[in-house]
Amino acid sequence: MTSTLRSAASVRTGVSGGGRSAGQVSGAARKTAPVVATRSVRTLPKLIENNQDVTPKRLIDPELFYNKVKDSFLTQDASSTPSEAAYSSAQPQVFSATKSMIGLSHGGALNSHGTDAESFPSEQETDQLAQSIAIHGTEREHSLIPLEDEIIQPLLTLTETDTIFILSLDSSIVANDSKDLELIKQENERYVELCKSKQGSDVFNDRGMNTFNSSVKNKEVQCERLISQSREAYASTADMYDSERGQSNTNLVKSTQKTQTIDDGLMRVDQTRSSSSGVEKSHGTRLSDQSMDETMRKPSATNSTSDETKVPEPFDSSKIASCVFIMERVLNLNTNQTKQAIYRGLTPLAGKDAKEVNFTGLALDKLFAYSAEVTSNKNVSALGWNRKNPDLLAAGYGPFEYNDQRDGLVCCWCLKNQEFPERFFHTPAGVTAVAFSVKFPSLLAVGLFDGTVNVYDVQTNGDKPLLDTEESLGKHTAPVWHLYWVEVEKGRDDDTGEVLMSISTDGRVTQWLLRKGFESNDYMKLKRILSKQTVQKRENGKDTKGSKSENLLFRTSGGLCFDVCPDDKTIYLCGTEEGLIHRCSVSYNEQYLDTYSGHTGPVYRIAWCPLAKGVFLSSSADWTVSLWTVDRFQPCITFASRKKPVFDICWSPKSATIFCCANEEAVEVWDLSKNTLEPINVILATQQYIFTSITYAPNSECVLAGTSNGSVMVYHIENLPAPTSESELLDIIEQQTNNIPPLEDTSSSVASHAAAKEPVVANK
Amino acid sequence: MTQAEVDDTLKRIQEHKGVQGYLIINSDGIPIRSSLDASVTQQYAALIKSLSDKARSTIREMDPSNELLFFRMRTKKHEILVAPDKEYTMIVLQATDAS
Repeated sequence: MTSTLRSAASVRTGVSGGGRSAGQVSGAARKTAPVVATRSVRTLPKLIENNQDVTPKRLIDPELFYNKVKDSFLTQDASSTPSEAAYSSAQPQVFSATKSMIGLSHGGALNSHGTDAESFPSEQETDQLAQSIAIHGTEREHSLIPLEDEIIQPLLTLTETDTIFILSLDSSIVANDSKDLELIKQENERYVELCKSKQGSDVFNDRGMNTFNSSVKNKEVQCERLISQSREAYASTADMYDSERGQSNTNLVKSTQKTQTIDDGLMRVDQTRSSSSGVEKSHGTRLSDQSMDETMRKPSATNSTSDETKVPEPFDSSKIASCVFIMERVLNLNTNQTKQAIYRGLTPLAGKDAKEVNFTGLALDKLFAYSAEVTSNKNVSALGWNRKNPDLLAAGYGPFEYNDQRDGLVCCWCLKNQEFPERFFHTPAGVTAVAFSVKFPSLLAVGLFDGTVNVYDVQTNGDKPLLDTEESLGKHTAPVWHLYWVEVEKGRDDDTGEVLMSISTDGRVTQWLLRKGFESNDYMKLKRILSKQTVQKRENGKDTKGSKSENLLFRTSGGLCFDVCPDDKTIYLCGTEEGLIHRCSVSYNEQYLDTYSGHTGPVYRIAWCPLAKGVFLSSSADWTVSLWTVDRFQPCITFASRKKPVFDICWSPKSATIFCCANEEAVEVWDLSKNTLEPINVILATQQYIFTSITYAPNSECVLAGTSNGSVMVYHIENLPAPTSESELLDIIEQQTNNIPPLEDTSSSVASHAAAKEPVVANK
Repeated sequence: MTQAEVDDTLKRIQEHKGVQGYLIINSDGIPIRSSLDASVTQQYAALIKSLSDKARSTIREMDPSNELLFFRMRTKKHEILVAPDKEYTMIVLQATDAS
């Protein structure tokens, strides 16, 4: 603090020479200048913290300074001048107190001293001085107040000071007729004389003054170069949709370790474009415009290959699985478009030459065959349709010969791909039966030659079955020939509402419940009973020898097929090895409700008519297919056309009088309304294969026949007659049966049958 | 599908009736696998990729919930089948019956 005071004082001394004239003024002014303001020393409020006096000390102690200034004033003559005061006032605001002190002390000094210098202060000048004092006084006032504030809130504000007139000598004009005119003129003359006498006079002394020119220093400021890049992003509707759902994974900033340069900036733009995976993003959010794309493509392509380390490395084919899948189907569609269209019942595109229709009768036209390498040389033993997807066909492959045991296969074929199955499952033994579940369309039950029943889930392509009866107690010990899913009421909460029925050569008809594993109940044990025919014979005594020696070695007879009545799910028919057909009920497991005898060989297939109630067909190895009604225990109509066992039959789902059967050597279509003696259309098998199974397509006018060399042939039925109804079928049956007397003898029945034909012919 | 199954399917596609060649490109238009020669592959990859992208963005612009699954271009000489996917695109050339 004291140092500053001294410096202020020195300033004053340095300046004093130049300001002589002003000093004279000041000297004169001393006489007349009044003391403007009494200096009041303000005491600052004391701040006490922690019992210590922490009141900030003033930067300038007013008492001390005042005295010093006064002393210095005394020692010099013409010392303090307004200019000095002003000069010091030009110092920064911190010294505002000093200024005011100087001004005031200046005033004080003036008062206490006279000067021998002649001065003729004009009124204006004294006024000026008074003004300056007043200014300073007011400034002091101002400065004191902020000082107070500064203590409380140390807030340093740097502002420009007001313009301070260091010296302002304004000339004034007096009118000629003013009173003081003479006086002023005298004064003026005196002043002019003084100026003249100034030169050589001893009273005045010239003194030079020099201001220091401070050295100039150049300073440069440099800022980092601002790099500007314009970026734009284009968001398409698709992008907005994606980002709403949080699916978009645009990575605009890829983590690179490159430095910030413009070139790299551009590179990064490329990389962000190229690294954003997915077609949608790279085109939705374009970070540069289209023209850039083309030009940048090559370098970016090369860059991205080097940067993305994943791609050149082992290419995981499973990523393109969906593309490949669709592609294969479309290729198939391309090649087989006409056939698929025919299958669907659509008019095919004109491209193939239109075949001339030679005859108007029903015709079978081979469309295509489901066959693949994996199924070659395998015998198709079972066909089953999926309930939910009517294009999906399950084919079971397994040999019919008992001694030729190979691995079996189950394939799921779809219309859309004829060359390769959608799914295939290898089974340890030959497959003898397949059935899709009704309630859970993805479950496929497969019956095997060794008696196990496996359930597969067709949603996956694994070989491992979902469930199997390997470890079940109720496992069949002989081939399972037929499977059927029956809907039942739920007995317990964890029941699926569906049971699986199976029949097997071990003589049991079993119900399987799919709970945690397989639980089985036997519906029926097929007991070997004597047919009424043989009973009759015995009674008639015709074949006593045979009957005596007829020992019932086995109590149970092997079941080969069964079918559940479509109207009443608790009634089912089963066919046995002896050629007997039993009608049974789920509720009775000891007795048959009815028995139908007529076949002389094992019954391979039974089928209820889907349209007519109480009518069913059966096919057997005795080269015949028989039509029965529930109330007659003799076949109503018997169809025999070839001398080969009939493996499979199926009713047409639309027409009540049409059915197909698969012989060993032919597929035959029968229409009862036209002809009951002969099939109306026949497709002969070539020598390489035989037909082993047959089924109607549920959504198309096609018949699918499985062969022994692993292919499933698809035949389209053309020129179908109008679908016949149930009544017509029943009429036909009536016609046929009215003429047959109810005899049990086969021989007599044949005769009566022959006899019956004539009236029929006559009727026609 | 597992990798083996996909490879099997690819083989079957290649042996399918009328197929002249196939190529698989990734989302940048770089061919990953191809059964055609290099120059043709490069050409197809670049040109068809941009067309596929355009087609895709067209569909999505009209209805963002929709997605392009497949498209084909039938030309005088053959048919180009394109199956775009999220990461990869598959292109197959098949000869038409007429040619």
